[in-house]
Amino acid sequence: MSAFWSYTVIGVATGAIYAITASGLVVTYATTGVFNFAHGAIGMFAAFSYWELAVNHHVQPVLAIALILLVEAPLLGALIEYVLMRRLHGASTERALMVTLGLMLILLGVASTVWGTTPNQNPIPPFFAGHSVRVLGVNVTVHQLIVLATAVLVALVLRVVLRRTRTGVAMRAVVDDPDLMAMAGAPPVRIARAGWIAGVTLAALAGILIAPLVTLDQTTLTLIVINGYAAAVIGRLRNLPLTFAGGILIGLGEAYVVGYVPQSWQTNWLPNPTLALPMAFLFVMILVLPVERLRAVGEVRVSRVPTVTGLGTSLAGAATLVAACALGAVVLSGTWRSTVSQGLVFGVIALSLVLLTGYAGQVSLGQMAFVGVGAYAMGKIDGGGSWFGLLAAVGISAAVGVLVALPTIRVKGLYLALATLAFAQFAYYVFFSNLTLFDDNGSIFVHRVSLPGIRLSGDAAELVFLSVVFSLCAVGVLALRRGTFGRRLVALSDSPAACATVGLNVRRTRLAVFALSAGLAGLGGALYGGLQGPVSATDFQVLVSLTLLLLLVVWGVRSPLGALAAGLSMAVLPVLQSHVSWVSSLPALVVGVGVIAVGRLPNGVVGLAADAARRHRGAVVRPVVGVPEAVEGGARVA
Amino acid sequence: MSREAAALLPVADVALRASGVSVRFGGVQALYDVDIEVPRGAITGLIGPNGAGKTTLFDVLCGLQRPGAGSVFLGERQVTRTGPDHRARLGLARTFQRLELFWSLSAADNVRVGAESSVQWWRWSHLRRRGHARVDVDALLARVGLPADLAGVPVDTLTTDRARLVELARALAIEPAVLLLDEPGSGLDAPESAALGDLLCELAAGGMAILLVEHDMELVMRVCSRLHVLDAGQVIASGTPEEVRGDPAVRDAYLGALFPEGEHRDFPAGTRPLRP
Repeated sequence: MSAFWSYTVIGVATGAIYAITASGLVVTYATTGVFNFAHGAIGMFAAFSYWELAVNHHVQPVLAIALILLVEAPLLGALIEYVLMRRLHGASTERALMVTLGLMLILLGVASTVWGTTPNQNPIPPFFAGHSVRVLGVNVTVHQLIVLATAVLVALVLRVVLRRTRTGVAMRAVVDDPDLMAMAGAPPVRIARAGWIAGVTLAALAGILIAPLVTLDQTTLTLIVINGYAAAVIGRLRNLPLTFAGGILIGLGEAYVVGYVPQSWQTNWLPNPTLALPMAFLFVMILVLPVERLRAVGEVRVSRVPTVTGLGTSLAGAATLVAACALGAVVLSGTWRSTVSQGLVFGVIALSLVLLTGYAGQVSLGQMAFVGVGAYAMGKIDGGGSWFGLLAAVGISAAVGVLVALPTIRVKGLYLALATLAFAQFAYYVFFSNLTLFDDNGSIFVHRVSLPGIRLSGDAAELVFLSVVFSLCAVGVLALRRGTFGRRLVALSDSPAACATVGLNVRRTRLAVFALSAGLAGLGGALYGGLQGPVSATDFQVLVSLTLLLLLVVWGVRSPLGALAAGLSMAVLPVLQSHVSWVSSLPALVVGVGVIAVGRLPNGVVGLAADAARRHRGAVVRPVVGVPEAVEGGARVA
Repeated sequence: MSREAAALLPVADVALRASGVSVRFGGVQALYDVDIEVPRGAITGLIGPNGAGKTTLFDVLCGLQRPGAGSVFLGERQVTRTGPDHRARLGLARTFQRLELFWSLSAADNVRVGAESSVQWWRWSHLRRRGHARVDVDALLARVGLPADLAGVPVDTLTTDRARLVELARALAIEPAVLLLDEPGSGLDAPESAALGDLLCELAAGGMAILLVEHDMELVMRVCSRLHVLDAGQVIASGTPEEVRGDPAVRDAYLGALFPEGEHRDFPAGTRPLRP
């Protein structure tokens, strides 16, 4: 019995931290309509700031906490609102989402540059380490008591602020109807700023509280604060009491699983329950969300799709690429040959995102999980490296894609993004990190396919082969875009309600494009595995997915040329990193800054270049910069 | 339409019928016990002041809004609980008061999405005859009066009245049996409005059932064979245009503002927010 109570205490304490972080997320989302994916990274950043002050510089903990919560976090919140969010006013949820993801990567990059990437050997001690009290025959550490008291205090303060103060009441009113609120004279900027400051401060508080309980490294801390997302979804991103209850529930579930599920089972199947379980929970919560009603959004005129490339141009482009790679196979050094090959494989994976995100306007944050499924199928099926294995890689990934998308296509886009994130995290911890499945010490070897008469083992032949595969995929994606299905995808991202009123089955179309995209990612996985040889969990991390997605947004999410550029950048950035020692996580920093700089260019760098080229030829180019994008139903909290 | 009047129409002639429809948004009763019938081969008008619930009724009829009470019948088929896409496949098309176009596509492609909506791209038969929709997209755009040189331009560059024509063409592209038009004539000048009226009469003569929401009273009185007047979520009058025009309740609620002392006047322009 006393074991049960100790698990309960641990669970409630962890859950209280999730509740704090989730309430911050909810406050920001409810007042600004932006789901802050950088929430976890902000918590991580605050935890490291605290470590720097309290552990490295021996500042009094109370003073350090005051500095962070009263100075650093509010400043950061106000800065985020002023620099990043204000110019996004009226932009699509998709675009706001990309900017917060960019912020997350920047914070990760800065933190790893300042504090190093290896897990810290000198961690943050819990508050009053070693002190505990006995309650009901169970030892409760003072740290846990402080966490609980803080959570209660946060709940009370939020309640009083939101119900009793002018700004608080205005913040709640914004939830009901932002337009009406603006008409009634409430200053939207002040409310948005308050929303960001409150959210960031709560993220920081949660980060500081949880840091002593886990390994002090950037990724773990960032991802563990993300566990709060599941709690926020229980409260449907707007109900604070439910959010608090959800946080506690997740904490308890986690503690009981760690406590009661047999150790051997955990080692084999659940290597990291604290990070895997909340994600499963998040997925289940999305399953039970009510169906989103299609509705007309009203006249929002924005053309977001660049001129569609014709068959002639795309074939010419493909031929040029293959010729260039054939030349490269002769003149490039071995290292560069494999870098370009890797770029082409990432290009194929990026093409899967062009279909899904570029054309259909659906966001997947965990595309590398489908890549991983493809690589695994290629490595294991039919002895590995067979053409049947390649087909199976595509088919199985597509099928897994359907399973992930099926419960989420009936809710709004943000939840699909969250579900893909949850799936990718869960797959990472339960599948890719599973030593039973990845039986060669956490990795498996994937063979390359063989063509009759050509040996693809050499990197020159592989480079040419991959350029042919990428070209075929790109020509195929463009052909699809010009056809019935492609028109439907674009129509669907412009107005699902209008699609339905002309007789299109919105869900079936979304499901189809998700399956197609996952299948293409699976093909990318089979090729990726073949190129790398041994693959392991780190290849398929969520951060890899996010980096590739944001690179694609920077280059042009609606263009196969953008996919090629994004893929090549993905391969080249780590090479650049090896030449720059004074900064770590260069790819994350470049991508984060890039996505914020590209900001509202709907078609990225490639789109900008295409417009410039057309203008050079004397054509009239309609400005596509700075036009407000569609305000999706989800941007406003109903 | 009053219940006695409804009893006069043979069921087979009614293409779309709503009965006892009520919708509530929070504290606002948007529609209350609305009965309406749209007969085949005729144009039925739906008029009423702004905020009377006309667009909400359209949403209920096409399936975008589920009513709190009441039923919708498409022909003899009860469709109250079916989705908008299913109703569209059964032959119901609509346009929107605030345009709901595919802004990233050209005018022709907008219509093509409608024309191809019955195409099942995963079927082998589609692969064999790719892109051959049953409907001639260019002819359809010409029929609604869009200049031929505008077919290829992205719709976000079109003026609102022309974009409206594209939406009409898109609705017609699914070859509907019932057509719901939400203010198709707003922004049109007199000759254009007359041309639209001719087109609607032509469509009705071909057997289509049309429900028309319109503030242009001249157009409504010319083309509609029956009118329903909606005010504050309730049908306050139904009948022929002459009957409705003479109804004192209708004058009080709506027409009084438009026909002072029985004199015809156009509805004042600029009643809708224009977006850049």
